[in-house]
Amino acid sequence: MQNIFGPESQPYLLLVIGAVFVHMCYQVSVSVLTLLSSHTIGRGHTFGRLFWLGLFYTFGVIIASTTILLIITALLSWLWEPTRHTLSLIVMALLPVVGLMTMLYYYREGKGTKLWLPRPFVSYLTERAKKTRSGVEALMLGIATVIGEIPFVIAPLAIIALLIQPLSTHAWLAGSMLYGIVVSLPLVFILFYLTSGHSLARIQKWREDNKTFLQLTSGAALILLTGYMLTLQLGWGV
Amino acid sequence: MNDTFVIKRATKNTELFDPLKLHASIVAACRSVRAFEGEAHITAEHVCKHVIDWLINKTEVTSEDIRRVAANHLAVYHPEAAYLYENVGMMV
Repeated sequence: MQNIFGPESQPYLLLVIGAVFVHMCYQVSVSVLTLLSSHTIGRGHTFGRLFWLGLFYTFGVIIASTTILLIITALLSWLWEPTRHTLSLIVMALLPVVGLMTMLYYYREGKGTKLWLPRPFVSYLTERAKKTRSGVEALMLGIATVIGEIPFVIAPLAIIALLIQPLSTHAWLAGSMLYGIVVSLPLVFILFYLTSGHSLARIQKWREDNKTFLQLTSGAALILLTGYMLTLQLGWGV
Repeated sequence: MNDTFVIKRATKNTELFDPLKLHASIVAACRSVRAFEGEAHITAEHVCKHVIDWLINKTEVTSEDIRRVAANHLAVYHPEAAYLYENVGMMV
């Protein structure tokens, strides 16, 4: 599938959409952005300051997502020829496991939107969000949140890596960057929503009201995508 | 009012109750929901008074107790700010 816009690529488009949807449902980056915004507005900073920090934070998320996707793609490509069947099996086994884990453990029980993350790591993120004053700190915070979420985002990233690894390295870079930007769109939306004068409480309320929906649909989507990928693997002759 | 000690939830350390700290956190919650500056300070003053009244005759409380009581009173003046004040530790 060298021509990614050709008719032979159309069945893979559903996989891309599915992976992007699942990745967007994962909420660590959104949670930390709301926390960062809460502290920034709470300190009495201007909308411009909030936008500046949020922008750098989003860049951090894009950079980390792009880099991790490139690393996974490079690893897959490097190991593809000798261990193609094993790699396919690992990815196929990984997806439903992550899907189930998402459905069962992504959110902690109780009020709020407490995530599965280990509490010491949450304390670290909370402390960093509270102390973030400059663009560079916001950028690093964005990178840290994506790294922290690797156990879950590894699934959609593996799907995309499998799809783009047969392409050229230029296409890897373009595809990874495009993916990083698209999965960060919820952050951009929240940033514009907040800097246009809306209340942070509304976003948090929406997240709390819809957390079960997001958790179940993303988990179920991963399991469905595995089935779809199994069908497509036959098409690849693997 | 006696000196009241607050047990911090995260560290389990004990510190003296500081009304200014409570005031600042209420103001921050009000600002987060786009309340006006004056409104935020007046609301924080009212809430602090209620919390101080509640603390009379108490020698030791947890930070969670203070947060809960403050959120209950804040909800009367600014429900959105109260929601955020209560949930800020439950976002991640």
